Amino acid sequence: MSSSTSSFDLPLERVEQGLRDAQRARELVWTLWLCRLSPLIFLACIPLVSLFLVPLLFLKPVDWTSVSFGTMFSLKSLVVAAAIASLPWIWRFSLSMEGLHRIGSWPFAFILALVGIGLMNVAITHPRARWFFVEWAKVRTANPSFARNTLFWERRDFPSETLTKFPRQRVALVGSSQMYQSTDLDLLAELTPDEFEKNCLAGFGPMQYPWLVDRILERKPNLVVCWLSEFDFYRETAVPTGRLRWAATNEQTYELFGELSPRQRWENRGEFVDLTLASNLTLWRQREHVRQSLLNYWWNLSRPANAARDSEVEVLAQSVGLQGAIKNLSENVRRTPFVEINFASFRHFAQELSDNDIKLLVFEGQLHPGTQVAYDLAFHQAVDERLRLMSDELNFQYVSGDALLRLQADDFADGYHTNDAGQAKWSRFVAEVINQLSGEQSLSATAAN
Amino acid sequence: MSFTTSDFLIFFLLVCCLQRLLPHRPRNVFLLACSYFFYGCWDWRFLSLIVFSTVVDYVASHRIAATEEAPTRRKWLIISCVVNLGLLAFFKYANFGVTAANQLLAQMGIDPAFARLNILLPVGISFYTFQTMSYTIDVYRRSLKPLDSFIDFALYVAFFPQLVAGPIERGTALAPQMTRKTLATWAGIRFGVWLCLKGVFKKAVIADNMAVLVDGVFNSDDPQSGTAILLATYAFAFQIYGDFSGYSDIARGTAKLMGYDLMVNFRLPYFAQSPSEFWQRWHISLSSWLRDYLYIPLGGNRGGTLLTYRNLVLTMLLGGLWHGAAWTFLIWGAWHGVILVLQRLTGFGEAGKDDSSLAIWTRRIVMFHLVCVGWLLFRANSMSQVVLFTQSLLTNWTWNIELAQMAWQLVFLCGPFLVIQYAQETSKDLNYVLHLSLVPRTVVYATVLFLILTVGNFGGREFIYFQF
Repeated sequence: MSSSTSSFDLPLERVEQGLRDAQRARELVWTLWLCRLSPLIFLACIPLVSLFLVPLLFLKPVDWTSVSFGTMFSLKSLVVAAAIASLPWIWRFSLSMEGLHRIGSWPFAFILALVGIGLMNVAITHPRARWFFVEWAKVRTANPSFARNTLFWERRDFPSETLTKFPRQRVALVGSSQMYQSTDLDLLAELTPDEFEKNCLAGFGPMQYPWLVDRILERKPNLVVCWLSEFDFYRETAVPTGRLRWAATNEQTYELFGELSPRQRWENRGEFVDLTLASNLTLWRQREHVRQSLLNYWWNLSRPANAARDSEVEVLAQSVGLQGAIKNLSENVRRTPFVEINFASFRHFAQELSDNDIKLLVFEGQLHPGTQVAYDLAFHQAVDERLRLMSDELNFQYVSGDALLRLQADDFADGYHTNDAGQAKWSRFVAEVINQLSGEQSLSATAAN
Repeated sequence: MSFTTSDFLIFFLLVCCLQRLLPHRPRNVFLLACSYFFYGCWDWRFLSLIVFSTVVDYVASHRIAATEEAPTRRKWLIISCVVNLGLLAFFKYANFGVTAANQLLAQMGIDPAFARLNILLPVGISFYTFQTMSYTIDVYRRSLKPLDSFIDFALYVAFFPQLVAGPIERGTALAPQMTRKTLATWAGIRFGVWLCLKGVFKKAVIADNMAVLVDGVFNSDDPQSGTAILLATYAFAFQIYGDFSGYSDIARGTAKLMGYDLMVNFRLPYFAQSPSEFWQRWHISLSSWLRDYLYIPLGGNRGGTLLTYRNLVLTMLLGGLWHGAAWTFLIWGAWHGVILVLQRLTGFGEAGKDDSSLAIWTRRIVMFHLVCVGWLLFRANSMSQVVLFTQSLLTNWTWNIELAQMAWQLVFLCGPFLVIQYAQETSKDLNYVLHLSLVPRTVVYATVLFLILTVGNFGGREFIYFQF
């Protein structure tokens, strides 16, 4: 407790008048030296930029074989090097301006910082900058993560390998990792004359469907295929901002909160602020991506083992073993205040598709049969019944009950996702249903036959 | 209603604007009502404790000031201390005492006799209890005249920016500010905004991102490598610093925006070169409280070498216990007591011995690691975890990609922060950034704003010191 260092040596909140002038004098000396060195900085930056900028940004190894004098002095590297070398001059210029005009009490630095953030926000909204940003973020974000999955949506970069010359129709498979893992695009293309693409996201829930309807409509599908289970409807206890933020718009936010009860609105006021901010500020909307990019994987060696093992988009979500899934489901599947919001959201989505003359096909979602012990099957029956009623009302096709292919324990890789055998089995079934639907044959009639 | 939530932002903007429009008396009533509302947002029931403590100290301080009779003065001081410490002991330490007694009985072969009580810990009880006690003691020592108005005194106790996690303001500094209408000047508003911004940055960008790394190691059931424990301990050093000094900055900033001055609670603690210097830089309001109201009354360094050592260890033990009722806090306090004694024995870190850069940096690095040993004790979930982690630290050193990632996050988030702090330390100016010229200042502000917007973790994690 006693002092061996006098308080005089401790840093203080100093307010003396001369401090700013003294600091300015120091900065003048620094900038003088930096300006003198700027030609050297410029020359040194040219090879550094041309060799290492792209590898550093996109984690690509330096291609030493293509390095030549000509490539080193490209326009791009010259511009970037000149920009770096001009920074001391800008600094020095601002110091001389500051010396000429007293800037008074206005917080110019703070205002300029806000303007800078605003410009960055505008820049990241521009499609070209977004492409650059997405590439930058993608290589640093773990493969089986929601943040990475959303990047593919940002670029509308879905696996769409089944390009057919004269397709009967375009089919969009929309849903979560379960839908993603359960369908084999090659097999579907083989069994149908249709063109398929997967628009899936890890943890995709009913509240997200209407938020992404515009992006789905952009793809101009003729048929949208979904897979929904009680797990999708009975889980949220609050508005899932983490999953909605990146797709937020003012309209969707107000619409969602319009569906909530006054109590729910009050309880989710923080989420409302978050989503409103996301709707209007791209930097906030993209914060999860920026975060992942800045905090993760700046070197290839630091890529986590599971991400390095997987191919580009092979895995959409972390694998959850059966016991993990049972624990998860028993904790999360219950009657929450957001069940009705989930149904209303999905109804809204179905209505939007119907208004745009897009057919909708919904499959009753399935989990590993071993997970049935985790929760009351009444939830399952309730979802089944409500989706059936909704399908009658909104005129979409809902496949469940006797018409459904029941997956067995050995069709699953974990508690939620199918293995290769399950994927093939399920894809065949989906192809059969689509073919029947496209032949305008009633599925119930087929099931009866 | 935590400082980094939209709720607080809206609450504060309303309060800050409205209080400017009111004359002095109504303004204090309004601020007191807002402070009680702010506290009530955690738990309305515990408001009665603050009111009770306020009434007791208001009465005690006036009775003390009203008489020259030493026994009467002492009697009222004892009443104040017993009530305040009694409340603190009951709410904070009762269960700890019961558990310790039961363990002792069990070790003696007797069936544990005491049942644990179902007591909730009121938020900020340690802070406002120490604040009101210091006020009454200062009145007793005749260094402070008690406030005439009960409203002014109640506002001094419950002033919302510093109510739940300090700084523990002295009556001599804050109480007089309650007796006049002090409005924020334009310079004060600018400084207050900067303090708030800095505080949010420390909390959301540094502390809460470090917390993810720390929890991943300390809350995991899996065995941890020595490297992971070392990195997590470093991360915790920055988590607790960012968390607590961030809170203090926001508290000072919000107070400043309303025209009040609160004390500086941190002065770049990780640049300390000795244990005693560390305690002049870390949680200054508590360390100076312990010095003035415990260490010096115990005799300080006036009673010879051994008594000084005893006083140091005792003061730090109680300082540890102030943080919470757990053996880990007690041992953390003891650790700091021991290193303070060792400093006295060895003369480590004393100014003027060797002021070369190498010597200064060596002392800083050694001191930082001594503090980190303390943080390991502080953060550990149990004493058995301390033992386990110490074994791992001494034997199990591995390196893998997850650790590389952890190290990167530590360097990325704390590195630039430390560079700024180094500039503050070398210039001995905590306002160093404010004295920079336009371009570097703009760069600092823009970086802070950008990182708050994008990397800031607003997951609703409470401030660590709320639990104390």
